[in-house]
Amino acid sequence: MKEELPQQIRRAILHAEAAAAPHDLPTSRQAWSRLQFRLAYRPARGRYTVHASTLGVALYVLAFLSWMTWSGWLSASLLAVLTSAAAGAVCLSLHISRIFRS
Amino acid sequence: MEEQAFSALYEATAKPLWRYIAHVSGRQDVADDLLQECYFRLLRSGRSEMKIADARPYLFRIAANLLHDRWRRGGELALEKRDEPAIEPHPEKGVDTTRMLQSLKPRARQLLWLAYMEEMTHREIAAVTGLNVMSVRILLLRARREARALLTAKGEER
Repeated sequence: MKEELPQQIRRAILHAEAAAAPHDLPTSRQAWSRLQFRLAYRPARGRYTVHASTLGVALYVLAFLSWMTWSGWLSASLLAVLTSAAAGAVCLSLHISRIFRS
Repeated sequence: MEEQAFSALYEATAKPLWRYIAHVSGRQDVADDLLQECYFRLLRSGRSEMKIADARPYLFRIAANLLHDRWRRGGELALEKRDEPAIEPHPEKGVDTTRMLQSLKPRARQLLWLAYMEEMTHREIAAVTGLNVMSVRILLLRARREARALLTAKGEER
């Protein structure tokens, strides 16, 4: 009986694996120490740039709109909405940057 | 993340992750670099406290993104033009299967590996590769077809 395609493919991959020269991976201790070094000495520049710039833009828009529409209760409610929108924008930017970092 | 927790995660995931990257990229040096980068990004992401079962697909996703970045930069172009297998074959064992698999496109190698070696479902593959489920189904079908053609050709050569 003829072997099924998925089995043929799996067998071919395993055969290629077996044919590859042996390769030693770093131990978990070595990997941990390298990663700790990289985390400790990664460039600080740009780490917070995305958040700072998003926050800056949000605050600028907020200030501009509050200046444009400053008139009693209407402005107060508008400000409340805009503040929550700005907070939402910051949270979204944090979420998006986390996705891109991964 | 504590060293002990990292050690458990690394022991459980490093080997399959390295094999996956090496197989898809076709290069052991690339696999070494990207493996370290995967764990670096996991630790940096602030999600390093997740369980091993959850961290495993997440690491594969990071690896897929890193491989995709390489393809976008044209890192695979040289690989596709090679005559010799990029993964160093064992001198005493055959190289024909290695060569045959490496003649597949990187995307096909990636999908076949995830489907047949990692035994992921279409949905899981979609989550790892960032494709939608329908695209995975179609691309996997094509990859299977290409692999079948190569396997048949190899069978006829014997």
